[in-house]
Amino acid sequence: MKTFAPFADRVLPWLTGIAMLAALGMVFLYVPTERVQGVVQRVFYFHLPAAWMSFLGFFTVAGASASFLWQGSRTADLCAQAAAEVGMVFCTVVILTGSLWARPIWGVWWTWDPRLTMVAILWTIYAAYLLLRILGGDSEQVARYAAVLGIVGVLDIPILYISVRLWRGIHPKVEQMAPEMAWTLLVCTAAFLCLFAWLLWLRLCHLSLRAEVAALRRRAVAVS
Amino acid sequence: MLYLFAAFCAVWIVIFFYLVFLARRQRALAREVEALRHLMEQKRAAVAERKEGMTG
Repeated sequence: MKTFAPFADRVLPWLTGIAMLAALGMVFLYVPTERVQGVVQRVFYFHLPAAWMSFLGFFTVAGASASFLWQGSRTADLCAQAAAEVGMVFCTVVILTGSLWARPIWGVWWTWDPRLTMVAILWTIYAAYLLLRILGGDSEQVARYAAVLGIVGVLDIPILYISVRLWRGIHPKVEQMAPEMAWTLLVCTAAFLCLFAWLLWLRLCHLSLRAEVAALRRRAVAVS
Repeated sequence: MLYLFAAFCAVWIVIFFYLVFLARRQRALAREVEALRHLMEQKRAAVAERKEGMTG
């Protein structure tokens, strides 16, 4: 963590800002307007990277939770908690942008399409995870329950991914796109990856510091 | 165009609120550190006073 700190504190916020400006420039000035859906299709360039970042967040939760259960590493537990929060931020972005995209194209804000339903389930699982962390306190037992939930919850992602193929829904699947669209998607994904890394870093630093303060407080009380 | 604008606003609003939430948590933590520092100083002063009383 310490070796990554100078890069994360100094470089990551600037990198995120520059990448976001480049992404916005490409979305609004570079990429051509899609013929069928028109200008609203540009939501796609933020919607899909946000979905990928939420999946990355939840896979990080599962990986860190497994590490916590396996080795008992407290840092892994904090990493899982931070990644769950950041994953939820991106998952919320996915639902909101998807809803605002669906309204002009499908004529509804929400429909119980298989993929949409799986995203709603995913959001609910990790909302439950965060509620458990917030209301359960900092005990070891709560951390273990949360780790199990974090691992089980991630199983929803492969189902979500294949849901378009398994059950016929109206959610489109990305198959082919023009090179300009592919480049724009790539830059937007890089920008969202920087944002994801930065937010995760900020939250992880905060949680580590909070754990240290709690330990100091316990020591101070024990001394007195 | 309205939906596109709303979607991009939604992205930035969610990220902005999360950053505000992080900043508030950070401030609360800074207050806690300050209270802890104050507690430690009080304890240090009490110990010093006790030592002075024993030597004096």
